[in-house]
Amino acid sequence: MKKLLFIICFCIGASALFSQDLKKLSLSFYGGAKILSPSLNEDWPIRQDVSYGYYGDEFNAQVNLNGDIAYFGVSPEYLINKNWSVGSGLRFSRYLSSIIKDDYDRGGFFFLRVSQEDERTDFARIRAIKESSNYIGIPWEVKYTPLVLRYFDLHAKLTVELAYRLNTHTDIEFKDEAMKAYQKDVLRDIGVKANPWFSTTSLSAGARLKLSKQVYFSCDWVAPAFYITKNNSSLVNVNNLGGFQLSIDWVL
Amino acid sequence: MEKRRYIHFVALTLAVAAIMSSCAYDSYELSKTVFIPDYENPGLPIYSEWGYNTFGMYVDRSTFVSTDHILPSKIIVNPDTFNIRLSGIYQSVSTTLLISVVGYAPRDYPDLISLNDSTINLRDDNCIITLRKFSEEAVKLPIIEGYINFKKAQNLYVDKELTKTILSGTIQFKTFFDGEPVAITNGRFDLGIGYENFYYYTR
Repeated sequence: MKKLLFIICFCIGASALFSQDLKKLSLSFYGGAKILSPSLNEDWPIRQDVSYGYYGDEFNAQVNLNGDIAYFGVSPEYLINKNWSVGSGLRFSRYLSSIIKDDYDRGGFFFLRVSQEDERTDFARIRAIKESSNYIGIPWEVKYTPLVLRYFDLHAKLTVELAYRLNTHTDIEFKDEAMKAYQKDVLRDIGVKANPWFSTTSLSAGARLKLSKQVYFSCDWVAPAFYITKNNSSLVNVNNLGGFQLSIDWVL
Repeated sequence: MEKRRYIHFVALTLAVAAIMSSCAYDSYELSKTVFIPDYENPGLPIYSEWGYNTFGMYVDRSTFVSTDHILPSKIIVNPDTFNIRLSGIYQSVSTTLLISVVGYAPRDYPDLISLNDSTINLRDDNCIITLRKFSEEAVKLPIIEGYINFKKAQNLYVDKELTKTILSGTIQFKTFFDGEPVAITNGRFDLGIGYENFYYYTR
């Protein structure tokens, strides 16, 4: 909680700094999504069933691994000169990841080893594992606008984000619903944890359209991000495939 | 009285059918061969303790390995002899290696956990190893030296129900094939033993 308060105070401080010259300040309300390219986190003890007679196959081909981030936020932006601006703010992100057997619709499942003690081993039949985590964070942005026209401009942006996890929830869908009662025990015994801190740096390119004297609409394509923090999901290892962001900028 | 007996019979039949149908799918999934190649030992499966139903070993430079289409293991217990049959492909033909241990007689597959962390010296008098290639007659192999090590024997419960016993371990020995000495090396096995491949009978 102290860390969260620190983040919020820091953000307010940064906004106050930017607001010294109101004529050069704009406020951006934005939302976006990033689609991730995940691979299975090997820490999960999953039996590697592969297709019958398919020696070269891997278990990763037998499950659908998903990962995406949806986010929204507000960001004061300070115009340094005609071409350069900086911004910060607050961003709320939801990070979703899942492991779903590819024949889920036909009742497919995989085996998860939930415990191994002495001469007894327990497997559970799992249809899907889903994890959602909510983060609050601060993005720092530097924007370069090489082309400024009357109603339209093109820009590129470098963003560094640091976020802290507010909460996380992992849900296991068992083949046998009676096993649901053991979900907490299973998660405790497996003990796979994700990093509470989440940080990325990314480049984006976009265009801004003037809607009125004070209001602009922006659309950005976010290039594949570089993750500064490791172990960002307990389920999957992620590589970013990029995403998009839409925003409304209000010039103060 | 007759009607009540009939109802009992129907109820019993339905219960048995339900149990058999619920076990059949699990049994199939767990009976599949999951061959994950060991890149450090080409041609062999990795050493594992997951019940992947695989085995493999080098016979000099050839491999004797489990395949998808041959049930890789059967355990047959006659009154006082434990027989473990490993069936796979050696020199492109189906081959069975039978290891018999006299004086060890588990009654059912869960009893196999008594093998956990145990080693059997194949040179001992109570061990007999035979090899049978495709349509040829089984040949008793004279053992120069060797062992089979059951590193891990574990009873496997799926959704809290006992389903199989997994035997995992290593094997190596030296013997004679057609009068020529050969070494069986890097042998490993990871076998799921259950109702369908455990046999106990008295003649």
